[in-house]
Order: sequence, then structure tokens, then C-alpha cells
Amino acid sequence: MQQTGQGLAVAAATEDGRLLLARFSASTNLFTGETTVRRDGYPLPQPPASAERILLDRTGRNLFVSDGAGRIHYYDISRPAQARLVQSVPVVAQGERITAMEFLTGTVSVIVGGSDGSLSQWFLVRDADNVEHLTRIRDFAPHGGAIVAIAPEYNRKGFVAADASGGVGVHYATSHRTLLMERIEGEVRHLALSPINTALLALDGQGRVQKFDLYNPHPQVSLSALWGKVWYEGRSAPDYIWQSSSGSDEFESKFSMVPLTVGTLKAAFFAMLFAVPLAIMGAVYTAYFMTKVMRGFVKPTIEVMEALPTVILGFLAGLWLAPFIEKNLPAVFAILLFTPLAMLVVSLGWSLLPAAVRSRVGGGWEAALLAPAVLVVGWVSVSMSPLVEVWFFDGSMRQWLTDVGIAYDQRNALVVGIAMGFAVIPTIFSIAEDAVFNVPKHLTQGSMALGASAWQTVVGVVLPTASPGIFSAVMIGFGRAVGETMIVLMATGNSPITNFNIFEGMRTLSANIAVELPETAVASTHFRILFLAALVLFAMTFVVNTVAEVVRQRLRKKYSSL
Amino acid sequence: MNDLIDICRIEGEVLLHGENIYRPGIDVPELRRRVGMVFQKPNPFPKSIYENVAYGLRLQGVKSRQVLDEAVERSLRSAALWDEVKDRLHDNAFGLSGGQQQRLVIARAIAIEPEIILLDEPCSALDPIATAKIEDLMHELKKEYTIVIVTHNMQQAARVADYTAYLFLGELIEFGETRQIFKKPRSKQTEDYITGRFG
Amino acid sequence: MKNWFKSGAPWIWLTGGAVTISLVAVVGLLALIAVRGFGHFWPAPIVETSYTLPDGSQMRLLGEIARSETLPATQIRESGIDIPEKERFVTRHLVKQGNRDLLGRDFVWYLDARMGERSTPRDAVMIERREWGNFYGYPVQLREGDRVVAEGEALWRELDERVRRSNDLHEEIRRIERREIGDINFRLERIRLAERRLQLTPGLAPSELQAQLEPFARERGELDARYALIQERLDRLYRDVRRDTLTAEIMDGRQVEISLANIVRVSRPNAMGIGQKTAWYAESVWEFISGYPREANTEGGIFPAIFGTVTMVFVMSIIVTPFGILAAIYLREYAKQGPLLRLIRISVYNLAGVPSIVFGVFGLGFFVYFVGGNIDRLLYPEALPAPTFGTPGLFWVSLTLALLTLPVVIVATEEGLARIPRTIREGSLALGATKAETLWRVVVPLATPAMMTGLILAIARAAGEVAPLMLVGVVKLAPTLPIDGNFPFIHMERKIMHLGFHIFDVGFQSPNVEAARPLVYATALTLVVIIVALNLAAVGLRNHLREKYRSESD
Repeated sequence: MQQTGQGLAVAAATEDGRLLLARFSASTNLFTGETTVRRDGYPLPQPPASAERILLDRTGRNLFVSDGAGRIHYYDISRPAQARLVQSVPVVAQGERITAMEFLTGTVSVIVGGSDGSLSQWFLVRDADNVEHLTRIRDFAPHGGAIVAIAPEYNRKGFVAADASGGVGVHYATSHRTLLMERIEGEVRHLALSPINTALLALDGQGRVQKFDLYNPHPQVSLSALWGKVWYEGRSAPDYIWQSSSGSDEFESKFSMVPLTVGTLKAAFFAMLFAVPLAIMGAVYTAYFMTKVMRGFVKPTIEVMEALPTVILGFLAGLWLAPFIEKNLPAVFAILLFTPLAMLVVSLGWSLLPAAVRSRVGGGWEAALLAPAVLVVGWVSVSMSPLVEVWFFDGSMRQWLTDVGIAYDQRNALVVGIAMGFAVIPTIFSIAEDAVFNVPKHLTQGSMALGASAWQTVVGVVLPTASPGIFSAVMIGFGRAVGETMIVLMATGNSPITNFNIFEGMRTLSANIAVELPETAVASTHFRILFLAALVLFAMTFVVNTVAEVVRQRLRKKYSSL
Repeated sequence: MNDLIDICRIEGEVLLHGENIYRPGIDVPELRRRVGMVFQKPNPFPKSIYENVAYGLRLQGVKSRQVLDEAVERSLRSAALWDEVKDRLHDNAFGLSGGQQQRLVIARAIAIEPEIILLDEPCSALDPIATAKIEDLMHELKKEYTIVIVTHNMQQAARVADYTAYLFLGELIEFGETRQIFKKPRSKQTEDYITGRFG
Repeated sequence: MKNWFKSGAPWIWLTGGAVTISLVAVVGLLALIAVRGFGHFWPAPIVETSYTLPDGSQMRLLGEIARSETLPATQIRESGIDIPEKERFVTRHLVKQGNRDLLGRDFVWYLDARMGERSTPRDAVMIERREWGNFYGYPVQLREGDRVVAEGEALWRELDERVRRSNDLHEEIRRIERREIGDINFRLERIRLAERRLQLTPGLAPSELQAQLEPFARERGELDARYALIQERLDRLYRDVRRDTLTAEIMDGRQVEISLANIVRVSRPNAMGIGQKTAWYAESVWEFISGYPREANTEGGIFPAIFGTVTMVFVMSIIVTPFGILAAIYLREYAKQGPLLRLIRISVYNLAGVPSIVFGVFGLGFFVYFVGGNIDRLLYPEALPAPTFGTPGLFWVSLTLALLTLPVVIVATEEGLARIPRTIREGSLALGATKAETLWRVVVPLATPAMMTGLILAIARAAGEVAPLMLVGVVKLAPTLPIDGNFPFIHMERKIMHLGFHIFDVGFQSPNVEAARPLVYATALTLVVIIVALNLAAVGLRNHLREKYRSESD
């Protein structure tokens, strides 16, 4: 018997081996207030052997019948008049019988207990041809005797099972855990749980009821549930999914940390991809080639850059940069390609200028001289962008990308990479610049004295000496990118997906905490898992920062001894 | 001061009024108050000239403005600095020249009326004119205070000191009246040093 | 060419280019925020034009042009708009036509090609309303009750005067509601709590309890009476403020009535001279800085956010300064240098690298729920189950931020202490000062500027931090300011608003992003100005300090 969306449905097996389905729908007459109940009865196709237990799910579409030979027969009854037997599967080992069968809350999963004490979870899985099959999902720790009773928990996917030898086990489906195996007196006939899963009643053969207190607040958590692939209800295969809540009480919460961790690393990776070359090259230049006057301007500017609140970077990334990039996608690639080229062209042009002009400006002003080139490349790229789209991409590069099979979100990893790269550039820059600038002068002078050019000195002497400092700069920058919250929160769609596509978003550990923690029930499993997420984040940055700090202190010692 | 430097090793004793200053449990700040010290390089505090001189007195809890004013003037006069700085007592001490700074530091030291003033190479960072001024000052001061001066400069020792001790590698070689040390040194080592055979 | 390559020059130029890109990015970003932020307040012209709809009919358009863009025609076609095949590019304008209540949408894209001649009629009016955003239209007549007071050109003076009157009344209403009623509510709540505390007192005889509750009941009666009086006054004011109405015509020709009670400001931007515009601009900026937000934060000012930020930073400074400075002094001056100290120092640096959200989580779990929950149990049992300190609030925000900025203060102070030359310490010791005297009279005063630098940097960091605050006490709309006239004046348990969170909230959680956008830029500009100013101050102070010691140590 099951209350479904279309009213009450009752399925029954008769003594003479027929299987019947009846639907009752009640309608209340608006004028008279009278309620009339309609009954529609349907005979179902004959089961192969005698039916033992019948389960009807809440959607009113699926019917499961177990028989005496250890099989379950799955009926599709979405159109009761044409109900059909889809599948008959043996669910217990050869020669054993099904001794208990029960839905978990939500009536999606079926827990089957066998006469050999085995316990397994089954649900319908859609295959490639969109046909549903009853599939064995996982087995639980077997009991010592035939399973006699199964009681599903309320609001979550756990259940309690009792066996003929007096063993009672508390199991949880999603996390694939057996939380408790206890022996109780008497032969259990029936089990019942309280609605908040804190009390267990067991009815024994002598008609006695025993009450047990259960303390089982967080069964959803296990190593495999957090970090492994889990086969969630209704999915076609095991997967990493983070989906902590939904409107329904019967929702199976999906607490895989993998998408979040991967998202965190993805965001940090793209940020580093953008920031590391710029910051390190900039640091080398500023520390070694730049004139003092310009340094006096550059360093405070970088400090201001470091001080800019990330909420501002995030808001610009989300509200300005993301739409801008979406609209000028070709320009982004053009800038990426042509800016270095333009720099080289300017450089070559400069070397061809008469020496008199060059010496008047002096060395160390390259960065200032390049500013117009960078601006011109940027401007030309952006203004050419619509034309390029029309010429090569049929008017819309974004559409073109989608057509060739690359998913594109407006707030994607590219945007995050640029915005967060912007945030970590000053961190990396300052530390790396410090390391390069403090390379003892006599080392570089020694190299120059041997006839090396300035650049050769940098590559041959300065960089190797300063490399631990640069390494530690990158590590600290990475630590910062991993922990950054506001930028990813605002510049991504926050969809917890597990891939490395630059044109799709991600959800990071930090953003996830910021989004979900204020709205979680205090002390719930979800709340605790968010704390765990913070711990994971802390551990990641702690390791990275400690390594960086130790390297930095070593370097300091090295410099003082040089 | 030596206890501020870790690698220092001390043997023998230094007696001040018959009391060994290396005796454990001695009140070090009190000792330092009784023994004024002036360093090789002038080290005024980055405060005003007045505050520099008044610092030691303020430490002793002197609050009265009048007492401080008098002490500052007296010390600066004894350090022969008063006339040069009396119009800018509240300017920062860093504005003074090296010689003036050194005299300021001496003024600071005598403001707390120590029994002994220890001068550690007080002129090594100064030019000859400033050095001459400091030496004049020492002649003035030795009327009232016991002055101990450390120097590598023979002439200076001969010029300013009444008694001279010669130390070599941390060991006391010879001690006596200046005239005797320079004219008829008892130790061969001393003689070699003052005649410039080594050092 | 080969020589040029061999000389390494291209590499040098490329590394230089990296600096250029970074600088261009910073300057561009600041310029973007400044232009958008400052530009928002300048009165934009109201444009009138005709627009041909796809079915050939004409309509009148009236509004400000917020943005324009040129796109490949295909992108427009994809959204289902019919563009002639020969067109490759399409220019379109985002028109702020306001009148959300009448037209449904206040921002609409219109194609340039379908627009007719544009004009800027002098009598077009922009009205800032308390509800439903801006109004654009032409005023027709001004009425007091059913009597027409003014029409035509005379209407303007009259309108100005009457808007001022209604605004004064509105101010009065607001003041009464905020101050007087707020005051009464506060006292009522205090009485309720006091009663409850008495009831919770163990071993109090019922008669005794009754006697002690007596005065409270009396006081409550008085307050209720006062409340009734105020309510009566309010009702009168409300009637008064609704006296006048303005009839105006909107772009589709409908005539609508606007109660003057709903009007904040009226302007005729097309008829304004540069002087008037400047005055309007200054007034707008002031309104923005000093006003309260309206309409789910998408209109009005940001005063509570500024106030909340400042209060929070202030409380944080009070907490972090002594801890940070004492810790630094201990580490630098007293602690024995050794492996333990190295470990502590690494931990401090490490603390600086811990993600801010982790501090937020820690603050929520430890400060709010553990410490706050215990405070509530011990000190405020009468308010339970409603938490007093066991819920996010100002104090926890400040404490969390103090923890977050502690390394900044420690590192800066240590650096300052390390910079003080040894000779200065020796000078003081030579005068008979003890170590403590030397420290407090010479070293610490000298290191003060370094400590100030640290504190300023800490403040700048704290003012810009948002992520942890979302967890421990910053909300999108706080009903009361954390400081008011009621004892104990500064309310540590209250939730506050914050500039950074305001940006996040208005920019990303508001239902009308287009309308909120300029406001977000203006808020961002405010925050950036504060933070850049603080940082430049810190940089200046530090450079000054370096100079000072450089001249000294030479």
C-alpha cells in the first residue's frame, strides 16, 4: 500500500497466485462538499512464482515483488492498464531466500535481506537506452542469521536490520557503513524507529516489546562517502557529487569533498598560470633592471594592489570582466598572443634607434616605454573583436565553442584566473622581488667581471641564488589562491563540477563554506562537514605556507653567510 | 656592559669601593648608575637635547621641572656644550654634529652624577678639532669625577691620563703613573708597544 | 638581429612588459572604479525619442541612456530579435526608463536603428522615489488634496518648496520611529528581561516576586501610554505628509499621480546649468554617504555600512593593539632565541597565510557558539532561548578580525623593534636603566611609528575583509546601528552592516542588478578610497621611519 501523487494505491497478491493493483482517488465536490472515492482495479501480469512481499513506490510507477526463489520482479505500472513485467532478477545467492525486503526513505532504494544473513541495496538505474534496470548497488556487512526485519530510518538513508539469531545491525546506505552490530534477547519479529531516529522498538516472538535508545547523529560520514565515488540514488554510475541539501526531506545528501577540492585546485591553478609568469618576471625586472625612480613608483603601486579588498576584485570580475570576456572572447586570445609580440617588436625597434636617443633615456625604463604598446594592443584587440567574430566564428565565438563541444559559462575559470591572479601577483611579486634584490652584489659583480651580459648574469647567477625565495613566493601565492573566498564566490557560478575546463566554473571549499555555513542547522552533519572543509583548507594552506616559510628562512641564512 | 655580549669570558675582579662588581647578585642597574659610560660612537636617543640629558634623572623618578632644568644646564655646562645648544634645547639631538653628540652623551652621563665615568674610545669616531674639545672636557671633568678612558691612541693617553694601564689580549700587563709608564715602562711588552714596535 | 637576440635584450623587455601589464591592470582597475563610481552621481540627460516596434507601430521613449554597445548581428538574432539579413553589426542602447511600477521593467535594451530623432526636452523630470525607483516623465499639475495649486512654469517653484516640506515631515517621522519608538521598544525589552530574570531567581516567594514585579508593570504602563501618544503624533504626521500629489505624464502618455510623500528629490537635468549640476552632484554624494539604504539596498545611501565598518574596525583595533604589541615585544625582547621561538615565529607567519574564511569558521564555531553560548548561559539566562552573545554579532566580528590581523601587527612591531639600533639601548642601559625601563622609555616610544604602521595595515586589511564576516555577524540589513543613545551605548551583540559585504550583497544577491550596478561601483569606490588612503598612510609612515634611522645610523 502506498500513498502516491495520484491517490492511494494498493497492490496485493491473492492466494490463488494473482497479482492485483487498485487505485483509489478521492474527489470532493465543490458545491455539495461530498467526497466521492473512485476505485480502479487492474490485474497485473502473472509473477513466475508465488509472490511473498510487494513494494509499491511513492511515484506510483514502480512495483517490486519478491518471490520464494530469491528473485525480485520489477513491474512498470506507470500506465496500470498496460502494466508490464520488466525484469526478474535474482537478488540473493543461489539456493537462498529473500527473508526481508524494505524501501529506504524516499522509496527509491530497496534493501533486501536474505536467509543467509546478507543485506544488499538495490535501485533502478537507467541505462544508455533509457531503460531502467534494478541494479545491485552495494552489500552491507552480513548478519549471522537470516534477516527477519528491516526498519528504514526517517529523513535519511539508514536502516536497522534484525536477524534470526538475535543480532541487530544499524547500517547506512550512502556512506556504506555498518555502525553497530549488537545482540539482543529474544527472537525479533518486528522493528520500529522513532521519527528522529533516536529510539528503536523491537517486538519479539513472545509479544514483548523492547525499547532501545539509539545515538547515531552522523552516520552519513565515512571516508568513502567524503572522498570516494559514491553511487547515489537515481544516478547511472558512481560519481563525485556535492549536493548538500534540497527541498525534500527524503533527499539523499551528497557530501563528496572531491568536487570542492578539485574546484579549489582548479581555481588556484588558473590563477597561478596567470600570476606566476607575470609576477616573477616583473619581480626580476623590478629588482634588477629598473631605475630607482621608477622603482619608487612601482613598489607602492604593487602594495596598493596587494591591499585592494578581494571583494572589489570579485565584484569587478563578476559584474564587469565576466560579461566583457564573454562579449570579447577573441580579444582575450588576441591580447594573450599579441602583447608579447608587440613587446618584442618595440624592443627590436628600440635597438635600431640611434644610440644618442637611447642613451638619453637610459636603461631601466623599458617598462614605461612598453605601456603605450600594451594599451594599443589591448585597444585594437577589443575593437577588432566583433569583426573577428563575424569573420571566423559566425558572429559569436561563444556559440562556436559550444558547437564544437566546449561548454561555456559566463563566470568561468578564465575570469577567476585573471581576477585571482591579480590578487596573488603582488604577494608573489613582493617576496620574489625581495629575494632577487637581496642577492649579494659581489656575486653579480663577479659575473659581470667575467664578461657576462646583464641577462646572462640574471639567468646564471641571480636566479639560481634567489630560486628558493622565488619558490617560496610561489608557494605563498598558491596558499593565498587556495584560500581566497570572495573572488571565487563572485566570479564563478559556484556549480560543484569536477573538471578542468577553463570555460566552466567551479565551486571551491572556501566559497562553499561561505555559501552554505550561514544557512545550515547548527551541529548537523552538514554543519560539521563544512567545518571539515575548513580543516582541509587549513591543512592545505598550512603545509604550503610552512614549506614556504622554512625555505625562506633557509635562504635568509644563506644570504647572510654569503 | 659585558654581560650583554654572550661570548665574553671574565677572570679576575674589578673592585669599586672595595666591592667586586662581578659578584653574583649585584644590582646591575645600580652599578651602571654609579658608573657612567660613554661609547665609541655617540648614541644619543632620538629625542630632544633636553630629554636626552634628563633621561637618567627621570629614570630615578625626578619629576620637578626646576630640578631637571638645573641639572640639564649644569651637565651641559660641564660638558662644555651649553653655549652651543642653549637656544635649541628642544631640538632633536640628531641635529648636532658628531663632536657635539659625543659631548651630549657625556653630559647625559654626568647628569646622574656617577662616581666614575667610563669612556670607551670616545674620540675614535671624531675629527681632531672635536677630539681636542673632548680632551679639554676631560681635563675639566677629572677635577670632579674619576674618569676611565679606553684608547688606542698613545698620545691621547699621555695627554689626558694621570694613571695608565696597559692591557694585552685581555690581560693586564702593567699599571702605573702615566709619566712612569711612558718614560720607564717596567715591562718589555709595554715598552715595545709605546715605542711603536708593534700594535 | 642575431646580436640583438644574443644580448638578452628581448628577455629584459619581456620581463619589463610583465611589470607594465601589472601596472596597467592596477591603474586601469582604479580608473574604472573611479570613473564609474564618481560618474554615477552626475545628472545624466533625459533623452526623448521615438521607437519603431517590429510591428511598425511607434512609441515614445523617455529615459537616460545607461550603456551602449555594438555587437555582431547574429548574437542579437539568437535572442529572437529580427534583424535585416544585410546588417552585420547592431548598435543597441540600454535605456533607463524608470517607472518600474508602471512599465514593468526599468532597464530595457533598444536597437539604435529603430530609434528616431533624439531630443532632450527641458521640462522632462527625474524623480527619485522612496519606492519603485526613479520616475521619468513630464509634470502636469500639483494638487493639494483636490485643489490644483500650480501648473506650467509656476509648478517648479511650488514643487520644490512642497517637496522640501514633505521631506522635512518625513525626516521627523523617521526620527520618531527610529529614536523615540526605538527607545521605548528598547526599554520594554529591558523590562521584559528584568521580569524574566526575577522569575528565574530560585527561592523567591510568590508574594515577594509579585512585589518586585510591581514597579515593572507600572513602568510598562507608562511606556505604553507614551507609545500611544507618539503613535497619535505619527498618525497626524502621516496624514500631513500625504497632503500633496503631483500629476505627471509618462512616456506612453498615461497620466499618473505621485504622492509627495513618496518623493525624495526632483530634478530637471536637461534644464540644469553646470553650476546646478555641480550642486546636485555634491548633494547626491552627500546623500549617498550619509543616507540610509532604501529598496533592498539598491537605492539610497550607505551610511549604516560605513558606520558598521568603522565601529567594527575600531573595536578590532582596541583588541588587537595590546595583544599584537605585547606579543611582538615579548618575542623580540624577552623570549630566549631558540628552536621554540623559531617555531612560534613560523606559526605567526603561518597564521598570516591561513585563509580568512577559516578564521570565520573558527570564529563561528569557537567564539560564537562556544564562548558566546556559555556567556549567554551564565550572564543572560533570562533572554534564552533567544541568544544574546550566542549569535553572530559585532563583538565576534571584531574578535575574529583581531585574530586575523594579529600577525600583521606582530610582524610590523617586531620589524620596528629590530630597527632600533643597539647603541641606543646601550646608551640607556649605561645610564643605569633596567631592561624594562630601557624598553618602555626608549625602545617602545621609538618603535611607536612602526606599531602605528602595523595597526594601519591591520585596519586596512580588516576593512576590506568580507568572507569571515559573513559567518560571524555582518548582515545585509541591520535594523539598528551598533552605537546609540541607550545604555551601554555600544552594543556588542548587535549585527552590523559592512561596506564590503554590501558590495557583495547588492551586486550579487539583489533582484535588480542593473539598477544596483552604479551603486555598487560607488560603494566600491568608497571602500577603495578608504583602503588606499590607509595604505598610503602606512607606506608614508614607514618610509619616513626608514629615513629617520638611516640618517641616525650613518
